[in-house]
Amino acid sequence: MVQTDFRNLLILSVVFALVAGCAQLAKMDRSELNHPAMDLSTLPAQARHLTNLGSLKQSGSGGACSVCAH
Amino acid sequence: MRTLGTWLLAFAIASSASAWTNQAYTSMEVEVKRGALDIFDLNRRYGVSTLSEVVGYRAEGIARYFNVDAAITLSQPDYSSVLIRDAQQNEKLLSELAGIRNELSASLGAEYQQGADSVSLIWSGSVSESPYAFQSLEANYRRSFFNQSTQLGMSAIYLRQHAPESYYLDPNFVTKKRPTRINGVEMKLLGEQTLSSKWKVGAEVSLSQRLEERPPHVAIAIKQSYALTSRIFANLQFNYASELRSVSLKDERGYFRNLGGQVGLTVEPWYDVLISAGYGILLEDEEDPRTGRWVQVAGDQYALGLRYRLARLEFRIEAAHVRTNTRVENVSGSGGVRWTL
Repeated sequence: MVQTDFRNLLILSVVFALVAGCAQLAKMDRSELNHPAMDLSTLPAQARHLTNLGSLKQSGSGGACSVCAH
Repeated sequence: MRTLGTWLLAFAIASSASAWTNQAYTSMEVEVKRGALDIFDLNRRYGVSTLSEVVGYRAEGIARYFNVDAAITLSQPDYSSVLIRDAQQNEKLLSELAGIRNELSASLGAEYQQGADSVSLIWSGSVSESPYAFQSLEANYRRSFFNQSTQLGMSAIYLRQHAPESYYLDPNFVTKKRPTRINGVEMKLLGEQTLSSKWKVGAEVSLSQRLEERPPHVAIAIKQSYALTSRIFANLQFNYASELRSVSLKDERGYFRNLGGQVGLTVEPWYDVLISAGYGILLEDEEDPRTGRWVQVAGDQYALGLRYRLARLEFRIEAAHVRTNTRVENVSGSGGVRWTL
């Protein structure tokens, strides 16, 4: 019983620390974080030559899939 | 009531017209590639060059919360790298069978953004004839917390695509027809976390499958970017994807797996001029438990890019070179302009 209470308290403390940490991040200077070079969504995808995994739509054009599974 | 609703919507759109941001954009991509027609016979070579151009228009802030994006893509594909086998196993290049010179596709997207929430729906599809004609629908939802320090999102894609008629020999030497209509689905979860004023990390996990063709595969991507100074930025990516071995194979090819990583550096020597360079390595393998066959392809990838913003215009030019141990060589170049009206 005491052990369970202690574990719950520990989990609550970790969750609180995470939320408080993230809330603290919200106040910081974002000039470098908002720079276009920091945008993770624009990082290029790697070209594949055997498998085409990661590309739901496939096209034979450009030799992209001459040796992959079609 | 319906008329009143229509009038209210029209009024909201008209009253916000002055607050819209309009962007016209165009980009062009050229790719030259040399490789092997057959992974098991590297002396059968091909050389192809393709061209595609995108023209689009984006409006942001319609009725305060809506964004729309419409684009048309004109491409000149080269199908001389695709081998088609008939029922008698005679081989022909797809370029000899499909006399198509130009292909046209379009996309139309709508986004609703209010506060920390963003929802979007994007349709894209072939407009003209194509051996790989497709239609797809993508839905996205994203929510940010703590002034965008934490972002969580999910997306789902449904795809319907045609494929040219072709046959293959299965491991028991029985001739089988490949599917000519393929349905594809993908579910993705993504998250992004700011770790400090200079460092952010993102992760993506996806499950996708071309249903009639392949077993499902799981893909994981971890991305990071770090501001070394206010003008020098580094990024690092790690990717892993693997088809599920618990699902049986649907054609003559084995289970695929990818493992890759890339690093990049972006420098801003003058205000709004961004020069970037990158290097990546990718290992791909195919394992077929029915025959015991195992194939591995590894490739080095190099990339250079330049971005420049001049008043309302943003220019972009990129070049990439790839070389694999199977003597695939790929040089590609692309460039584009985005004009905020």
